[in-house]
Amino acid sequence: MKKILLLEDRPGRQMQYLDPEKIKKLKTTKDLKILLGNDCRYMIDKLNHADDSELNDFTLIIIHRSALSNVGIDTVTNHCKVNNKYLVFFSGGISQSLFSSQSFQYLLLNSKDFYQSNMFNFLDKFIKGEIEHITELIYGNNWKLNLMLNYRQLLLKGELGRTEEEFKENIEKLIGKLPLEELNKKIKTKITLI
Amino acid sequence: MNAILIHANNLSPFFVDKFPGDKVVIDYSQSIQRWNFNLDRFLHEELSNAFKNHEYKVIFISYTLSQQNYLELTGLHIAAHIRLTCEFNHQHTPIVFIGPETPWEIAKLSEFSNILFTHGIFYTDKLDIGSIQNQYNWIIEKKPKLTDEELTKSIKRLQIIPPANYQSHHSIDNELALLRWSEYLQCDRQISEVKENLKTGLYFKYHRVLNPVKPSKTGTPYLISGEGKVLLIDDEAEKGWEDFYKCFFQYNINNKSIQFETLKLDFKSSTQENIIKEACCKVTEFYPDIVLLDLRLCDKDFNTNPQSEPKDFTGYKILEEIKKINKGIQVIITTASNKVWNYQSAYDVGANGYLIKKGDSDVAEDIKNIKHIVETNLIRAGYLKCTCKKIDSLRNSLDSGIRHKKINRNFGKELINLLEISFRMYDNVRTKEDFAYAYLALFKCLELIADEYTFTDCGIWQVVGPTPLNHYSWDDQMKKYKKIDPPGFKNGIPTTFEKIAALSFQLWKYKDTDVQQLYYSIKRRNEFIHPSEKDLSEKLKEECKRIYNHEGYFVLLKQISDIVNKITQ
Repeated sequence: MKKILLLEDRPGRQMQYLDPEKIKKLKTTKDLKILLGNDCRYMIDKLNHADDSELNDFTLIIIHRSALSNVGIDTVTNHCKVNNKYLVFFSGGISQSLFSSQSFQYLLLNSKDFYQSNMFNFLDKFIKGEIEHITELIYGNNWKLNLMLNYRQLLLKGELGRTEEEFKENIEKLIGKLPLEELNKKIKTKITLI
Repeated sequence: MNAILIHANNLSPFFVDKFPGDKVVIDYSQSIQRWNFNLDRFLHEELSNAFKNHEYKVIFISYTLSQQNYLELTGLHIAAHIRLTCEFNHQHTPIVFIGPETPWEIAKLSEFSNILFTHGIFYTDKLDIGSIQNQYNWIIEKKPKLTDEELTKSIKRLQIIPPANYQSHHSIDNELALLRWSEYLQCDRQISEVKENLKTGLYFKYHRVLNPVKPSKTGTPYLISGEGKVLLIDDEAEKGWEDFYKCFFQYNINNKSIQFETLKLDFKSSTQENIIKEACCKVTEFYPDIVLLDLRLCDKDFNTNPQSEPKDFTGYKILEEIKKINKGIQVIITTASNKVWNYQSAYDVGANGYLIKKGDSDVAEDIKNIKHIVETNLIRAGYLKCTCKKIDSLRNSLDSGIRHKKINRNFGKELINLLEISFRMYDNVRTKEDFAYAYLALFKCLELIADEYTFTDCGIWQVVGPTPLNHYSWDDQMKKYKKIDPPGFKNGIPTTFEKIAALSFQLWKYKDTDVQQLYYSIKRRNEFIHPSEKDLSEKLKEECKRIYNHEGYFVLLKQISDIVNKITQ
């Protein structure tokens, strides 16, 4: 089982996006630790003082970015980098969901997108170790299509650097090695089905 | 070819090398882990550099600018920034999207895809220089530039939604007002983050184009007349409103005529109950004359499902609590809402005015309006706060008197009702006549006391005790009241003054000067109801005029309060 930490310093916002039943479900999800109110403030204070010891137990860390100071953000980011953990930062001011896999898997999401996304399904699957790629949180069932589009971009680019080669190999582990023509067909079919 | 190619090292290096125009790499992959990364700001800065001193005929953009997450489709954002940003000087320039997908496929993948179906947008999936050159030539020949009308239509089709932390259009007007008011007073240096958001945020660019506003002039703060304490309760205080008001009140803060404070609280992570509690503590401790109060102070106030009612807003509940602390504290609602129902319900609870924050109003008028509202309410607070305190203390004395059977229960309750009615009238005064009407309502208390403590028994007037009610009259030579024996009341019935004078001397052991002040208070009322035909002395005229301002009411209230203290002891 993989453990998840969710730090939300604005419980009121959680209530805006989720109905009480969903919040209850979230709070009772095993292996998902949600900190609200004073507990949340305590943890945030520690992170803002560059103390990451509370993060050790978790494989996936989800935090409201604006709750942290710049020191806190760097502390969390470094922790995930060093320990190769998954990190999701969400914030109300973010206009576009972004993903990076440089050093570690990192998602930057708008708060609304986070709460109204595939969150419940994703968290369940993550705890059970059934998540193959973190972008499933934002793209749901289309996460594979996203990888195929990335893969096609790499194939069309042709000349690849070392990092890009590694990235391509990682995608191949998930979707298989596909020639461009077959890939084009698969992408077309997947987009048609959306 | 006078064109630019915008990419992120995600296209074939062979194609990029051979591209016969300028090329710019916009690659944010290294930056997104930075603590303060903001995509719009990043794109704005990169595009600003790319277009500086250039006037390209065609712009080529790859659909996505991510090597690792194709569905970000950041090229669409870039195109929207170009269309919405006048300073880039390329709003009318044709844009060609590059990528293997068709616009219809992209439309299924991004909610930003509207831009693909607007004027001056083309696409190509052929990544060879010959095709690119042909397309460039075709565009230059057939559709070299968008007209203004086409640009307007295109922008309207974009349908850009605000970021989640701008939870309603009020939040946007709030920020625009902060920026424009701060610019007017030239204190906008303190709100660099807000300025940056408004300048670089895609949604704000969109909002600004659709709702153009005249550039603000600049002005200087006013010196506010009056003095007192002003408290700001606003979850956005730290974002810039505190600095704005400090600048607005700067002359008065410097000469110490106004004390300005802010409720310091982490609003975002506080519950509604906690915000209300902290606000009440601050009001009790600082005891302001004016509270500038925002209605929406926590996330709960922005609920849309179900929609929060104004009476559930945190600010509304704080307003109710402030009025419990002291009705005389003037509460000015600061709001970016122009919904009448928001105002009306707050007026019902005792709000004393509104400052409406709008993004497109006349700033000079707004600033003048703030001055006017503050000055008016400082004056009101000046007399209402102490009056309210006096009435509260009076009510407590009467309640205690009833409890301890010092006064008759019905009499006590009636007195409390009359006090409340008169205060309500006093609180709602708009004209000088209104002061007089409030005075008349308060005067009823004096009449009630006079009637409660005097009575007639077999034709003889008595004060409670009982002892016969003496007749006192002012002796102008002796400059004191003298007793007339036997009493000579007109028609055998003592007037209100004669009853009060008898009670004052016989029951409450007042001095002549106190009774003379009571005489003025009674004369003030009588002259208003039925003015004398003969000329009054200058002194009496001056005393009677006080019925038309707050002083008359307060003098009478103090006299009633002194009497109540006597009868409840």
